[in-house]
Amino acid sequence: MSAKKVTLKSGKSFDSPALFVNARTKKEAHLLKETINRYPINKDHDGLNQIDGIVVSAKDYHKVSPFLAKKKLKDFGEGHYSIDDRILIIDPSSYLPFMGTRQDKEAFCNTVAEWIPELQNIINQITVIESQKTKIEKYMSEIYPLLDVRVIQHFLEFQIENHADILICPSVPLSSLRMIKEQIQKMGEMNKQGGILLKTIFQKYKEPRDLMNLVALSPSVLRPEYFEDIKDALVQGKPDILGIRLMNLNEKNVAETKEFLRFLKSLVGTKIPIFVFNVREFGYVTFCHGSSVISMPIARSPYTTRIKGGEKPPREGNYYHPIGMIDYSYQKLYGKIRANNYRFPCHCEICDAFDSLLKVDKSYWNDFRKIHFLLVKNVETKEFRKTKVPLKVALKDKFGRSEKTGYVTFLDLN
Amino acid sequence: MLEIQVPEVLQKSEYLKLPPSERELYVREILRQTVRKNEHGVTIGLLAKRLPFDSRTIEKHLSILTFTNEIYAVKIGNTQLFLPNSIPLHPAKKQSFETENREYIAYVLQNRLGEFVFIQEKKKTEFTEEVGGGILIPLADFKGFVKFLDSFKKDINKFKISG
Repeated sequence: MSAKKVTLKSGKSFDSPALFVNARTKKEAHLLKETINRYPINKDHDGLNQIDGIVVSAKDYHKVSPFLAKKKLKDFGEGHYSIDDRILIIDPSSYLPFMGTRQDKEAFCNTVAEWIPELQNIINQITVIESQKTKIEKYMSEIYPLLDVRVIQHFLEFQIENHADILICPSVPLSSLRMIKEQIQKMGEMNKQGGILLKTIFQKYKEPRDLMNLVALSPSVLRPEYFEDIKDALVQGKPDILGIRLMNLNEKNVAETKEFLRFLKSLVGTKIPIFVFNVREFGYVTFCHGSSVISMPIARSPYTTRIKGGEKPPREGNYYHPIGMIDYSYQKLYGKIRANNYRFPCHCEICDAFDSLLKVDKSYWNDFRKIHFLLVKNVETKEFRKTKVPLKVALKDKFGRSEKTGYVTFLDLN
Repeated sequence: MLEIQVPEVLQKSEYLKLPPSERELYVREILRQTVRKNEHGVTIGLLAKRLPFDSRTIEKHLSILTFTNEIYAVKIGNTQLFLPNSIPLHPAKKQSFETENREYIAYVLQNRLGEFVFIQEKKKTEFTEEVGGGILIPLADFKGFVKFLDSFKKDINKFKISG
C-alpha cells in the first residue's frame, strides 16, 4: 500500500493513513516535543517522522501551547520535521458538558467561562440528579439553548487565533438512543451554523482553513435506521473533513463494533476524508473501512473507566508491548521479561538505549514508557504506509500475531 | 415574479445573537454573496423577501458595497438594480501591491457599463483582512489616469525638495 499525500488549505500536509496523537497535559506536550527533537531521522530509526499531527482539546490548550512553538527551530536544520510543521487540531470538545469526568467538565467550563458564564452552575445542578433519564433531558433542555451561534463563533475564533490547521465546528454528542432524533437535529443545526459563519464573518480571516464537522458518539446508539440522518447532519455546512470521536467503545461487543464500522463505511459515499478520534489500536481497523486519519492518546486508554473500590491506579503506568499490541502493567512486564534478563521486548530508540527494565529508574518510568509508545507508534505507522500487500492483509497478519486477534474479525464486515 | 438565488443563511433569531460588529460583517457578506450569485441583478424588495433582514438594513449595506465598488447600481425607471462588480475578465488580469498592513489589488473587469480597471484596498492585521475602499477607472481612460498619477508624483517630489 502506498501512502497518499493530502494537502490542507493551510499548506500543511499528511500522508494517509496517518496517525495523530493527543497531547492532554503539559508533560505529554513536553515529551512529544522532546522526542521529536531528541530522535531525528537516521539510517536505523525514523524518530517521530511518521506522526503528522497533534490534537489538543480546547480545555487543555493553555497548558500545552507553550510547547507548540510557532517559530521554526533553526538548530535542527532545514530537513527537520519540527512540532510546528505538523498539523495542529484544537478540538472544542463540546461533548464535555454532556459526558465525561467531573474534572474534564470543570476544565471545559473554565475555557468557556467568558462565553457561557452560567454553564458551570447548570452542570452542578444537573450532576446531582440521580435518574439518568431526567439527567439527559435536563442537559438537553438547559444546555442546548446555550450552545448558540455565539459559542460556535467563539470556538472557531479561538481555533483560528491559535493557529489550528483544521477548524472543528463544535456540536453536541449522540449519547442517548431515546433522544437521538433531537441530538441529531441539534448537531445538524450547529454544523450548518458553523459552515455559514465560516463563509460569512470568517471571510475576514486571511488564511483559509479546512472545516471539520465532528460527531462525538457512543457506538451503542448507532442503529442503521439513523445512519442517513446522522450523515445528513454531518455534512451540513459543507465541511472539508468529517470527524468521529468514539466514546466508550466496547470492543468485546462484536455486534456494536461492527455496526460502528458499517456506519463509518457508509460515510465513505460522501467522498469527504474521515478522521477517527480517540482510538487506540482499534483505529487501525478503521483504516480498512474508510478513515484516513486516526488520533490516539499517548500511552493511555482513550476511555474513562471507574476503578472499583476507589483504589488509586499504580504510579507506574502501562508499557505498550509492540508485538502483543497490548498494555502491560509494570509488574506484569517485570514478570514477563524476567526470563530474558529483563530485556525490553522492543527495539525502538529508547528501549535500545536502556536495554533492560532494571536500568530505568522508577521516577523516569512514566516518561520512558510514553516516549517508547510514541516511537513504536511511529514504527507501526511506517509499516502500514510501506507495506507491499493490501493494508487489510498486513493488518490481519499483525493482529494475528498479537493478543488483539479479535480485531481480525472486524477487518471484513460480511 | 423574479426568483433570486440566496446562499445558506442563519435564522433571524440566531443571527441577532451575534455581537453587533460581527452581525454587520455577516449581513454584508450575505448580501455580497447574494448579489454575486445573481448576475442579472437584485432589488432591495427581492432581497427583503428572501433574506431575514429588513429593507433598511439591506439598503444600508448595499450602499456600503456600492461605495466600495464591489457592486454597482443601475436605475431602471423607479427600480434600482444592484449588480456584481467583481468579475475579473481574466485571472491573469489581477495584480496586487502590498504595503505593511494594506494590499491594493488591481483587476480588469467588465460590467454592463463597460470595461474597467478596478483597484481595491484591503486592510490587513495579523489574522484578518477587510475590504477598504475601491475605485473604478474606465479601461479606455486608464492610460490618462496613470499619466495623471505620474504628474502628481512629480509635483509631490518638487514639493519635498522645495519644502
